[in-house]
Amino acid sequence: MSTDITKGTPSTSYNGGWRTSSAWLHTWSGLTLGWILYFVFVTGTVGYFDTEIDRWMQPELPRSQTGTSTDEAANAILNFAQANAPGADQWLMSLPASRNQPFGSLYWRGASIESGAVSASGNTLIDLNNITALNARETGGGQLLYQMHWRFPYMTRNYSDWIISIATFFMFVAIISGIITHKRIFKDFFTFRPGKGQRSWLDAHNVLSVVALPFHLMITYSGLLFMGFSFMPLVFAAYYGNDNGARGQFYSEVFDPPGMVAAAGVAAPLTDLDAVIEEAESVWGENRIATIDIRNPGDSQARIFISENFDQTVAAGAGRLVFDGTSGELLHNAPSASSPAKAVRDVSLGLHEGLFATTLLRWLYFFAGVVGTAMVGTGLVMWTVKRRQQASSEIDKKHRGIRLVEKLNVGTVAGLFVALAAYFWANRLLPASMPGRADWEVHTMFLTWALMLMLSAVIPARLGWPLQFRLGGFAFVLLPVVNMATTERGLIHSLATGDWVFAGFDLTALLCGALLFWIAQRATQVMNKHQKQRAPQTGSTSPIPSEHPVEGARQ
Amino acid sequence: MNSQLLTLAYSLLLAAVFAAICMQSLRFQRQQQQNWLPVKVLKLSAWPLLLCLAIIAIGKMGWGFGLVTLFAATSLAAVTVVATFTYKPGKLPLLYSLSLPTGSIFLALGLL
Repeated sequence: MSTDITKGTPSTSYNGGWRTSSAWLHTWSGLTLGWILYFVFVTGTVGYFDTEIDRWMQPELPRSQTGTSTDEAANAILNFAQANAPGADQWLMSLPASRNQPFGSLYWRGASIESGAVSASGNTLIDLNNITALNARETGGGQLLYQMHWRFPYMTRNYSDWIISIATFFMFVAIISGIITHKRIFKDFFTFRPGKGQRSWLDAHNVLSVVALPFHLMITYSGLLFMGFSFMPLVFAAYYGNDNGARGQFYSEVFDPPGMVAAAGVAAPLTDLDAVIEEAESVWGENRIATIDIRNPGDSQARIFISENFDQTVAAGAGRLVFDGTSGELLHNAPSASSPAKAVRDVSLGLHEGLFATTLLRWLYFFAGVVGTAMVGTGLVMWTVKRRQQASSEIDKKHRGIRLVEKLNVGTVAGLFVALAAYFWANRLLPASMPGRADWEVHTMFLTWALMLMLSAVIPARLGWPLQFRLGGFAFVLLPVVNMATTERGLIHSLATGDWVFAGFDLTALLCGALLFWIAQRATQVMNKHQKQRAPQTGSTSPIPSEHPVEGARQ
Repeated sequence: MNSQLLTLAYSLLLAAVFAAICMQSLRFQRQQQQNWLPVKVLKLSAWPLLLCLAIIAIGKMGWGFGLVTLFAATSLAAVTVVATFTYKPGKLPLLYSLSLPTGSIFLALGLL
């Protein structure tokens, strides 16, 4: 945060000095892509509960089947594959091994329709109790919401990668320059002075930045590593060249399991899966298998690739065992950390995604994400607060920049919550059989966001802030009601049956709605107070009406 | 070892640590007319406890899990203490005296 400590006000003009230049850098690196960062933080934070949101968004699915033993689950999925996808080139069987994978599923490709396959390729969840496909409404679910924070919809992967990478880099610069600028980082650790206008926003931004600083640093740096191959293509281009196939060759060498072979075209029965599982469990322990990938099943060159469940390690990389698919012989034991560089990458990604986190730790990840979101939000708001104060002495200027930033702030900082709620509403209200349903959930979200931005453009910010927070509050508070009205898994039912995924989602929505109402209420109080203070001042020198809650809060 | 209990224990114990550190601060001392505990006692209880918690976290849970748990709980504890200090500074001693024993019990149960 850019701070002139002696005066207690942010100083952002570049006029020399290490801290001053850091403050300038902090301000502009934070603001330039701040709205993108805010979106990334909101969707990323929600993404810590991606699997739970997936389940809430598909209420037709039964409860998690994670208690099923590996043998039982693998054989059930194999039976399903043999019956529904015969002659396939690949059966990728995911076992219900942990919270990250609550149901068994099968992905297949190259199946033979003539031999009775339901389709040449497909991906379906499987009910392990009666070995049938689990049918549920089409939805992007929590996965898509999570995916949005590193891959924007409505644009090509290439553009999205660059925008996200640059935004992440700016965030990293903002954090480092913020640390340099904030020299009383420890002395002011517990300092938050409410009701003091700009000073309060600065305190809030500082506190939110410092209390979760390790998280902010970790999430940003690991995010950069996440995007490393897009952001720093020369790293592998130096060794693999820059032609079209270079990237594919690089990925194949680093990430593909060893021992991949082409089919021989000679029929041979698949080995007994139980024996293979037993050997894998002797290496990793019981119920530690996440996926079984069978290539060329029914061919003499069949291979079985077994991946380890990595929910008990921070590193997001799975160890793999490769078996001969006809003899059952163990051909390769490939640890996840095939090189020190890959190990560093796996740990970074693991820390970023938090797939290893237990329920309570996951909530702490979520909390840190909320703190990060608030940090970005307060930073964006503070930019306008400071400039509004400066604007009061520059009556000859129109201050279009401040107005633009303020409108974008209202439409994004407050409006994004309405859009997020709209995504969930769409899930419940769009017809279950609607074609392109998952796409329309996303369209609903972005159309709502666009609407909120338009709303913020046409009404003054002093009305826009409370209005949009209130709209968000209504949208979230009513979400459990909509859920209860459109499904049989309403909050009361969920609480009565101990269905904590559904109950947790509904209760979190209620809490989120209540919080947004509280923020709206606070904003209204501050506006009213400010209006009363302004009423006697007929000769105000400010060229733009003070619309921001912050200025009104000054006492 | 129960990682859920340990996470809970760390959240509570770190709240106690931050409450103690906060109560040593000049701002708290100025606000409160009488010292609930001498600054020396607070210092002696806060920093060694923080060090012990870090050592236990890394020793029992490993560098990865241990540090993640420690830092994650730190954020929650710090926000709790900042909020208490801002709005109800008089309740900081209560927060300290409740979270320290409760957290210790959870820590012991979690390590068993």
